[in-house]
Amino acid sequence: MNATQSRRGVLVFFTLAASVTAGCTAIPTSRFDLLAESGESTLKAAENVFSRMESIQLVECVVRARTKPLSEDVFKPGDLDLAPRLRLRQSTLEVLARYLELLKELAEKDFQGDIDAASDKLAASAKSLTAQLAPSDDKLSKVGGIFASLVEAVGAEIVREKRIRALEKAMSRAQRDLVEVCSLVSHDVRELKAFMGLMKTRIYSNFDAVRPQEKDYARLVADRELAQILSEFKDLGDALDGLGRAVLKIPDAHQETLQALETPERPREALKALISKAQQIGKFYQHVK
Amino acid sequence: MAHELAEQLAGLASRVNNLAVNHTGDDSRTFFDLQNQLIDLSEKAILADLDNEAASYGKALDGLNAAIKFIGEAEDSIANVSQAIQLITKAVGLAEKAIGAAAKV
Repeated sequence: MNATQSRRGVLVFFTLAASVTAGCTAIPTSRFDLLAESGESTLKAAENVFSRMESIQLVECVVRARTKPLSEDVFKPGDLDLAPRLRLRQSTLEVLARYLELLKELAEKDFQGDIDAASDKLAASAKSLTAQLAPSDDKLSKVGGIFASLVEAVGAEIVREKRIRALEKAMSRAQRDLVEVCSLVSHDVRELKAFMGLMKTRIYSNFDAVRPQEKDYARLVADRELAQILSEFKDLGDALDGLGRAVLKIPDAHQETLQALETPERPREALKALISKAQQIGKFYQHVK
Repeated sequence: MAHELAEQLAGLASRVNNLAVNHTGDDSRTFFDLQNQLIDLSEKAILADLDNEAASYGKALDGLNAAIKFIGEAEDSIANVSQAIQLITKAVGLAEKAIGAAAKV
């Protein structure tokens, strides 16, 4: 192969690289970070609220037992036990958090190993090509090095494109189910809040029924305890409201992240690197003419 | 779904609590006991997976609505205490059947 043919080869390769990178898209990794963080923080908030709800249910059990004879089981919630319901919702939110975490992993995973293998092969073949061309000409031998850099930029883009398509497919499929799951959890949170309201009413009215006389010190003790319990109900109500709102935001954030994937953005750094290499090759050709 | 039944149970419980406060003696204690039963049932209704198309569900709602209508907002004591207690007790029984039916499914 003569110098003219080798120059054509370089130009063809560069054109191919440019066309492959023309439609390339950057992965909005910060959005995936935020999505995963929101899933994790929602799960943590739910764990905290649910744990406190189980504690306050014990207070209700004591109040319910007020008019019953004592036994080992009298303070158990029986068929009014919130725990199974809370566990189920916590497990649901855990699945949600793990799904968002997996998306983040997929978006950020470094597939460098795959790129290295492909670029090594092409660099080796480019070197082999240049080795056949005027071995004494050290300017031409530099083409091999430039090819390897291009492959690294192009290869990374190809892997990135495949990853983006995979993420788009997975997220598109999941979107509707995500909306439904979050809606169910939000509805459930409202029901839990209604349950809390009933617990509060029962506790309040029973404390009222046995409230010590005005002149008794015991009244202050009982009132203080009730005040603490009512304050906890207020906090739990607010926490449940916050949880319900947080859960409902997740599907929109998921959809926005999916849309960000589908909107092509030029990866500035990779393109700059390609342009720089192209300029280097252009200057190189001015020398060899 | 147990939304409406649980809501009506809670609504009646709230009114019966007002009656317990606005009356004295045995009437107050009776209303208080009925309130606790209604709260129990309302909590069970939230936790249970009720079929709102079941006949027992509809009857329970009717019973609750009748009691609520008779009592009104219960901001004061009411004249016909015995009829109020009768309607509330009937509503409790019907709600127990509806919730019991769901538990067996």
